[in-house]
Amino acid sequence: MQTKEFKIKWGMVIDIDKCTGCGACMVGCQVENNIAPMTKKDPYNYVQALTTDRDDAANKLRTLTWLTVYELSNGKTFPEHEVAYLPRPCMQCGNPACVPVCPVIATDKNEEGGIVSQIYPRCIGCRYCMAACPYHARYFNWWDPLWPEGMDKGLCPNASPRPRGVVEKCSFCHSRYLKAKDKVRAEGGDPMNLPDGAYTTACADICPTKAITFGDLNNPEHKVHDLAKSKNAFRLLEKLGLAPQVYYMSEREWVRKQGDNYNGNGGHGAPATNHG
Amino acid sequence: MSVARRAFIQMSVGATVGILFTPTVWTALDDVSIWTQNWPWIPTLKYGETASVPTVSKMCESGCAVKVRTVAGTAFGTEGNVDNPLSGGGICPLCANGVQTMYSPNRIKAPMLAGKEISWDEARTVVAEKLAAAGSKVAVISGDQTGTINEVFSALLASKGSDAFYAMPCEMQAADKAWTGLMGGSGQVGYDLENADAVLLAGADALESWGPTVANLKAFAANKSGKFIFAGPVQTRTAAVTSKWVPVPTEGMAAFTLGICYYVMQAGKSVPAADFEQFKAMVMSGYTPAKVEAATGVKADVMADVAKTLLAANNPVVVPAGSVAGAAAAFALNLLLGGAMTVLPEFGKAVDGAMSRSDMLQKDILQGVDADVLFIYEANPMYALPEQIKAGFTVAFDSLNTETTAAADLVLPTPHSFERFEDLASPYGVAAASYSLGAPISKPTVNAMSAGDFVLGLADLGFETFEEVVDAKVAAIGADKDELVGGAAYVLEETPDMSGVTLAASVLGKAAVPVKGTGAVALAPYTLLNVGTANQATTPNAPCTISNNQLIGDSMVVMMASVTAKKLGVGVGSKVKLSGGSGDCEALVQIYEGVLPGVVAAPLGMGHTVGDEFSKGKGDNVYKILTVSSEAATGTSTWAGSTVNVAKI
Amino acid sequence: MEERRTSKRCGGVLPFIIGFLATCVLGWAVIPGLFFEEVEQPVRFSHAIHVDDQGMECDSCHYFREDGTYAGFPTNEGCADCHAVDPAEAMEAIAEAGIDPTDYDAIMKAEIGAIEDNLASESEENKQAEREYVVKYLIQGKEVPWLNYQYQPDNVFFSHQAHAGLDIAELAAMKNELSSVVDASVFEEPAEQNCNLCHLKDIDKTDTPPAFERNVLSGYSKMTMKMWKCERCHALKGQPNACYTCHK
Repeated sequence: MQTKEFKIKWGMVIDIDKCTGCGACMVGCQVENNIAPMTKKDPYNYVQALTTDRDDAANKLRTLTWLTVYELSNGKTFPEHEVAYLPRPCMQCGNPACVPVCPVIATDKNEEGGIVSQIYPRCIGCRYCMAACPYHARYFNWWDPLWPEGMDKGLCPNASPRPRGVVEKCSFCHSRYLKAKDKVRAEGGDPMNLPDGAYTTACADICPTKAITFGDLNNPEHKVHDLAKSKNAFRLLEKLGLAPQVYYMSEREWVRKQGDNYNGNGGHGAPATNHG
Repeated sequence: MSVARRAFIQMSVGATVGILFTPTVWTALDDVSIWTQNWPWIPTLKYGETASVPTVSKMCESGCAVKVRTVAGTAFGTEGNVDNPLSGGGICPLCANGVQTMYSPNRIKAPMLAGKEISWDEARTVVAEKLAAAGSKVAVISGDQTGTINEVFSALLASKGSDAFYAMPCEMQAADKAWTGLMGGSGQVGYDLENADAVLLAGADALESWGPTVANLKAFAANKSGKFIFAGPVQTRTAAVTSKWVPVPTEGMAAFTLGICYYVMQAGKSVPAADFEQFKAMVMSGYTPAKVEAATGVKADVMADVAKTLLAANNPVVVPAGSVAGAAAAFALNLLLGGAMTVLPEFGKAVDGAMSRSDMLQKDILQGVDADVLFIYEANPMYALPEQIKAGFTVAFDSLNTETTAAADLVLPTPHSFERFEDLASPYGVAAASYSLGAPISKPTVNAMSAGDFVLGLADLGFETFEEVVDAKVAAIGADKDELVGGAAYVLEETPDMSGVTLAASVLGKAAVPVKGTGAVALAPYTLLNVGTANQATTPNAPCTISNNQLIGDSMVVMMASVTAKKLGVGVGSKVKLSGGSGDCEALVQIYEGVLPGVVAAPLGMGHTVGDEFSKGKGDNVYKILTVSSEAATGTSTWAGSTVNVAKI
Repeated sequence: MEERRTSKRCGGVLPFIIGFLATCVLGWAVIPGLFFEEVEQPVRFSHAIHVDDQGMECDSCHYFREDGTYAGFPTNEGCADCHAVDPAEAMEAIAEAGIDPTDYDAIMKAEIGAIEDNLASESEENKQAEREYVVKYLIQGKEVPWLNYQYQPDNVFFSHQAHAGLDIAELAAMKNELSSVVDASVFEEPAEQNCNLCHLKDIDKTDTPPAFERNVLSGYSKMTMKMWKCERCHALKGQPNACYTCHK
């Protein structure tokens, strides 16, 4: 399969050595993208006695966490134990596994910038893409979004609310890209050559340690360009050949190794035995 | 009949074919497909001019400098404030959900007397009567550590002849008791984490909940060459990014710190303090590496290693947490090292008769509060320490329903941080004195009144409104209100006189001895901001950020190393009862090898019985199983050294 | 037997043709109209008075903000620059007169000085429209819920900024290809600004804004541009038709 290349390639470099797993990025992401808090009771459901409760955040299989933080462990016992935290957005793969399986072209990678689009009104909720994505970056709306009373007054203008029955995922806060281009147009600049920082994601913005760096991987003037090439940089499951546009970096070797557990024994295809 | 029937069928077929030659069917199908995309219960968005308005958010303990994002004047989110040294662009997970909390249905809608809605005038009459009858038996518990609102409350107390001002137990209190109490210092201790080249976090999980968390994280990220070492019983989130984790039991932290002092003094470091010789003798005899190793289990060469790192640095700093003794030991070590510990002056007062910050931290809430009239300001003592509170008549000011407002006689709704004038002076831990201010961004969505305005109406404190108090504070500091409201912080690089500081040798020698309870395992409680703090429960969007190491389903999770689990006869997923203090908690066991053997780590901030569905009934309340013990030598109370018994259920 | 004869007489192709023609006529002439209901704008805003009489420019109200976003409808803040009724003063006067501030009719009848003295219109008809705006929206601090003829749903991101440079005169070369997208009459006398391409033609000359035609099924405007129209123009202009070019 061919990796789709564009002149602009939006990407992230996440420094795992700076991530404390505080969760601010996840909260910021939900606010930016109008992901409703998970609530059990539906006050508008007048036949509650006949129906089951909705899921709350306790059911991790049904939460919508476009960006989610994983805990990594080096697997050793006290006192050799080490721990690290890994935030996982959508990888915006160069060769996405989700796109070819979509029967209705609700998801595609066709825009300059290389962000994998997800068009909610088009999605029929078949979830093939979720099965295809090896990063578990896609989420199905099991429930209609329901903000506790009064909380839907303050919704972010950047993301359209999705009904139940559709798949959604991280879009690198795509509306911010459109707005950044408009701003540059208004200033007489070139929307195809945004300066570093003109377009960033909500998670990168809010991160207190700035562990997430966002920019154009193809633009040498953007920080991510060099960071992605640094010696400690790696990508998740690189061997699958999906060419993610999200890079990670860590000085810790065990973290880098876990980034591609198929490389566990020398990188020659034999899967590591301690899988899972 | 059959003729008509045949003609009718023919005509119907004609009509059907005919309609297909018009756009009707196709446009109707198109419209119906659009109709299926827009259900009335899916909210639509509001558009308009977007803006980012700087202000301060008081949901986390230290407070965050934030910008509230608005669209067409309506707030919808928060982001960091790059111009403010407390933020640098980042915010904490609690304040990241500030706007959603502002719109929460859990807001208190109107003043409530014994469960009945009353008017503000009635509320004022009731409180005035109770106050008149109480004489000087009035007390205040404040959950705010940095606001000028405390000046208003303490001045009210002073006008009644009372000094019963209580802070919720906090790191600032332990540090103040050590610094101004034991060591005779003045001002507030700070730590320049950004410019230090070696940082020993002696129990302070500075990168997840301790102190000005966001400012710490920012300093950590900006500090390219500094070596951070975390010492504590649990490999916390902080330890995940520091270069080293030194496992040290909580109750042994002071002894561990003195053990490092041993090596530092052995290397020839000294302080021109009056009791230096006494201090040196005390450490050299009582806290030799061998003795510390015996008392805390920390190997001598580990301490030697840490000491070497600190000694090799040009600008080292030690950051304590927990007990007063631990703080005093760390300050002594900092004085010996002469590094990046700073001392901040206190800003001038706005209200005559108000207490200084240090005075506000004197009273020990763990020893109990007893008053005829008790004001509780945005604190949740009925959740964190219910047994300590006794009052004839309780007035709770808060914006959200909590255990405390549920138990209070009179509940007075305050506007949310973003709906009022709110200020933030030098949160404990920052390197330099700073002052930030926020003006209201929107009108309260409920019938709320600023607590300051209400209290100023009870007694003549020289001001009519809290805004006037804030103006006076800004004037006393010498800052510019417009600049502050515009998002810039006022920073004062000035250090008070440090001469006359002692090393508290006589007290510390006794106070640093580890004291542990009698339970089977030590309890290491920890705070994660997305789980919540003593005063603020988790927020609407935060529950899905809470990991399986803290909460599974509705059950709290406690972590322990595999050796501890084996000793206790439990394994992953075992349901256990932890008993200690005056209560017990239920939890599920998780094996996490980053916990000192013999220790069980449990998250604080869960198990609420009042509040919204995001926190109520989620997990269990670890405050119930903390043991309050008195640090005899320092005359203070502490939760350090709490132990629990673990029973499988 | 009789029946069969009758059927021969009236049978055959005639009923089919009658049915066919009837629904064709209905389907082309009557039914399309039934899909839409006419809704009046909440306030009778006269572009003619503001533009011709007062000499205001289009971009006095419809302008680009500094961040490149477009201020579509004016807000009370902008309107109050000229309609200088002080909301606080007006509300006070209403309270003094003992009128419920939400009883609009009573307020309008009471001829409150704080409102009446600041109305700018001359004729009574225009004055009434202005009065309605002031009483129902301005002094209440409520924005006018203008109906957007070009309404697009939340999943569409339309950038006025990206389309600001489109030139009608230039596009006239493609007018045949664009005939199904843009009203051909737009190209007859190309206006200086390109608003007519998508917006109601010459709305700036209307005295009473035309009714908003709401689709009874979808709720969208009759003028809501469908995706294929956007795509056709994009394709003709060599612009990308990637999903995320316009969706969010």
